[in-house]
Amino acid sequence: MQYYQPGSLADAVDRLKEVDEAKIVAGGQSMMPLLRQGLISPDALVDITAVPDLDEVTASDDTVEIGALVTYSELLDAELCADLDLLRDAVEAIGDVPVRNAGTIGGGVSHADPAQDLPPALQCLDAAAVSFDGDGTRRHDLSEFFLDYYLTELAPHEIVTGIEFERPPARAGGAYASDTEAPGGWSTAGIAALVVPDAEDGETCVDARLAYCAGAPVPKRVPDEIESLLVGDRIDRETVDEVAMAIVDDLELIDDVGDDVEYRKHLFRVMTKRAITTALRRSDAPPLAEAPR
Amino acid sequence: MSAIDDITIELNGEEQTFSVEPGVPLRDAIRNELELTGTKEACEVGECGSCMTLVEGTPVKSCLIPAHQADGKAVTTVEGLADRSDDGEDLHPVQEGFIEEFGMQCGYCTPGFVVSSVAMLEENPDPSREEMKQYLKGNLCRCTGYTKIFDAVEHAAEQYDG
Ligand SMILES: Cc1cc2nc3c(=O)[nH]c(=O)nc-3n(C[C@H](O)[C@H](O)[C@H](O)COP(=O)(O)OP(=O)(O)OC[C@H]3O[C@@H](n4cnc5c(N)ncnc54)[C@H](O)[C@@H]3O)c2cc1C
Ligand code: FES
Ligand code: FES
Repeated sequence: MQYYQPGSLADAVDRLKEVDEAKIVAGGQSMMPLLRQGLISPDALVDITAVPDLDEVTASDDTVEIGALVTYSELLDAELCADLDLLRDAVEAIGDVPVRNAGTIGGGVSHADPAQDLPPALQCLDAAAVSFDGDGTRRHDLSEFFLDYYLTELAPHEIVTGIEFERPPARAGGAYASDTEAPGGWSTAGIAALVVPDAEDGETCVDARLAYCAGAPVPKRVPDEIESLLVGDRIDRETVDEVAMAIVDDLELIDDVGDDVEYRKHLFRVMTKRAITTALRRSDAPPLAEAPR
Repeated sequence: MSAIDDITIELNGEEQTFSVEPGVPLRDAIRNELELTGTKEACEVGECGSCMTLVEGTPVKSCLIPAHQADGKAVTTVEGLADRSDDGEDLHPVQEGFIEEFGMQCGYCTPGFVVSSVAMLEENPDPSREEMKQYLKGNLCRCTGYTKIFDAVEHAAEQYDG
């Protein structure tokens, strides 16, 4: 096996193209276990951590760009996470401090484990992954980016350079709710919610976005029919229950050894309610209303 | 550019150059090439924290970092924590804390906990129990039930001026 540490993006793509079985390594938090367990044996590792200019968080009033090499811990320390509860919740749910110190945003989307915590939050923010393939840059809508377990739209020599999204309006509220079996473990159910109240009356929900992980082969933006149940009125408890049930029906859980599907569905029901009610509480809208009698 | 094989790290304050095979984790380089065995190996998947190491002061699980990524960086292992400046050996307050409070049984997890705790106290010299639990989530102990470990860190925090 060869190990390359290219000093430019173009060099990195060249390395990836010239070796048949070459793999990108960034933070190593998912790649090293795969190597150590013999699950993959590439001919070359292309370490992109020396590629310049991919480690910045740039946020204006409207747009946000997060470089692919920004670590989870660096993102948590950025002012952006103080403003965006949804993003902060999701990053805090990832593993533990040392994993977050090394794991990168680029790896966090490219690895495409269906249980990764970051993608649902980014899907709710309508984020795009920006990539470079040697010829030009491409933008991938993160709601379309994931194709199957550990499979994305990326070509083998394509490198994610960053994540971009537009800031939601200040009156919006967001939250990520997840559950793990053990402290520091992967999520067994994770759901992100963003709700936007009407600018005029301050309570009618005009936009609602939901996405989940660990419930299907890919991190998944919830179908429009379900999201729109929350739109057009002030959100009440009955609607939240209805949405939670609809999401449970949307799941594609596999009856795996040692996995209790009914319990996982229950978790998704609870996490969905928690995510929506927390998002609502953090928005400018009044808290959850009881359904009119 | 060719594959890098010779790397230089500042290990516990001393510059060391050694060659390493591509893809070898920092943990194995420290143990096998540099022959410091305080950095433990227990799992291959980053779940136990017994290989915890500071790279430029930041705690990482050294089994999950390619050794090449430490090239040119300062690496601190548990062996580098005691103060050996005036001839003697003054243990780090965190090490003292583990001794004073019996924060170990078999001791296999101890170096990892000590390294993580040192990093935590650098950031937050007065953590609550809840903050300790959050910060030390990446370290597993199969013996103590953790209470004695948190006691040890609390003991250290009392001695600690940051
Ligand atoms: C103990 C432990 C617990 C964890 N718990 C969680 C958790 O609770 N939630 C969670 O979401 N994650 C968790 N993770 C995974 C963590 O999020 C990883 O950091 C992340 O999956 C990969 O990021 P990385 O930078 O380390 O990538 P690497 O491991 O270096 O790479 C991972 C994959 O992504 C590819 N890749 C990396 N960067 C790029 C890029 N810029 N462009 C294209 N491809 C790229 C690599 O080729 C590889 O296939 C955990 C990991 C560990 C070890
Ligand atoms: S040996 Fe590194 S985390 Fe277990
Ligand atoms: S003391 Fe035995 S594993 Fe912690």
